[in-house]
Amino acid sequence: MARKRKLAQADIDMDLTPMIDVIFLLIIFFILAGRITSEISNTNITVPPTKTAEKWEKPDDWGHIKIEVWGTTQDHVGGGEPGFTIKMGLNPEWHSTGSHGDAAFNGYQKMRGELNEVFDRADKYTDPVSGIKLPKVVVELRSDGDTEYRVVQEIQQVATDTVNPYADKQGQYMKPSTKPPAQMRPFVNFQFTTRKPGD
Amino acid sequence: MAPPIDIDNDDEVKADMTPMIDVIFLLLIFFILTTKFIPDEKVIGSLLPTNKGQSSASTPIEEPQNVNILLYPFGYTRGQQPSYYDAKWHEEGGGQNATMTINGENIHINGQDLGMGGGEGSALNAQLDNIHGFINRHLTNGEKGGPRKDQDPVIIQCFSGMPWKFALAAYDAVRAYEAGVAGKIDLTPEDLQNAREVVFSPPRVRDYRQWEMGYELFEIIHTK
Repeated sequence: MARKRKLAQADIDMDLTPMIDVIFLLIIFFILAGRITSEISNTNITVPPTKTAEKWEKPDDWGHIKIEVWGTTQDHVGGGEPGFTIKMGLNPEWHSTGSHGDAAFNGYQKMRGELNEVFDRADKYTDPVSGIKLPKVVVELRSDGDTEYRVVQEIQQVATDTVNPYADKQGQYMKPSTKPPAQMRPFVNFQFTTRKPGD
Repeated sequence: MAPPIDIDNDDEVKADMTPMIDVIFLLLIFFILTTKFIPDEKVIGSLLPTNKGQSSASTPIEEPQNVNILLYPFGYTRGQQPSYYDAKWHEEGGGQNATMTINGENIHINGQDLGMGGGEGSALNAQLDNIHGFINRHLTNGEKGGPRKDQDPVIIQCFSGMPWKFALAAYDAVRAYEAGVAGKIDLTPEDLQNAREVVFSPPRVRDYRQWEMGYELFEIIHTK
């Protein structure tokens, strides 16, 4: 009898410090985890679902750049100025507006300029088919599911250096590139960001 | 003289911790409830053509052996002029739902169902199953055997004004078929080089001529 009463007494005076420590750790974890997830991915983008979506880890000796894109180049039904946005790595967002002139192709031009720099810095390998030097860089293209196909397609064309986003002598844009192969800076290894249905 | 202040107050050592623990529990519950963990996004790999040298770019778009997967707005049918398609596109739009055509056979894809959500029995899964079944059937019929590299190239010809999700869904279905025939395609650049050629349609240059969008619709709808 006497022993039991003594145990009960000890319970009331138990040390709260470890519990408070653990709870503080949990709070800090949830504060940080909550913030981090919203910072990493751009919330303007909802990537489209696919069945063959895979988790992917890049080969060790390869570089990786991420291009995010959303928007449209057309103003067909409902009016409104067409426009789209490209975000590449840590650069600020590049907005393109309208359908004609420099403002409409600004995003592509900035992207091409940045890609040129990445190309020059990257390790290269020789393509077995064409003999062209290609960079050891994987481009991840994270497009919104409702982004107009043309924007995604034109980004691919600008990245593979098959069209020229700058104005030519007639003031026309997006014409086939006329550079000789040795001067091209193509990126050909692409990953399209997607998600598993149900995730 | 006033008595000296008693600094060693024993009461402070035994401060009551209950209110602090209450507050901390409230904070903990708040953060647990409000934190949303976004599931990891995944990727699909692709090797894009450059127009100099890479094998796919040398493949002309209308070669009869290509498998052409056409994607254009639902409700647009064959047998009209570019001016008709252009006017229809600018008046009605219609890019939210798609017609997919292979070898002259059509299916309808509901774009809204192809958006968010998912899981067993969902509308999204029904759309994906429909697309996968359709493409799988046509690719099975055209199967030639041999190394995947030597198969007929698959060209996804999507109308410029369509949302990207339709083109990616078609690409996904072709990849799923290839994985069924040849086993899983790793996303390494070397593996992609030996996989079947699957490309998005070659450059369609913006030229701003009259009925530009109509011409593009006309060409896609009438591709064999």
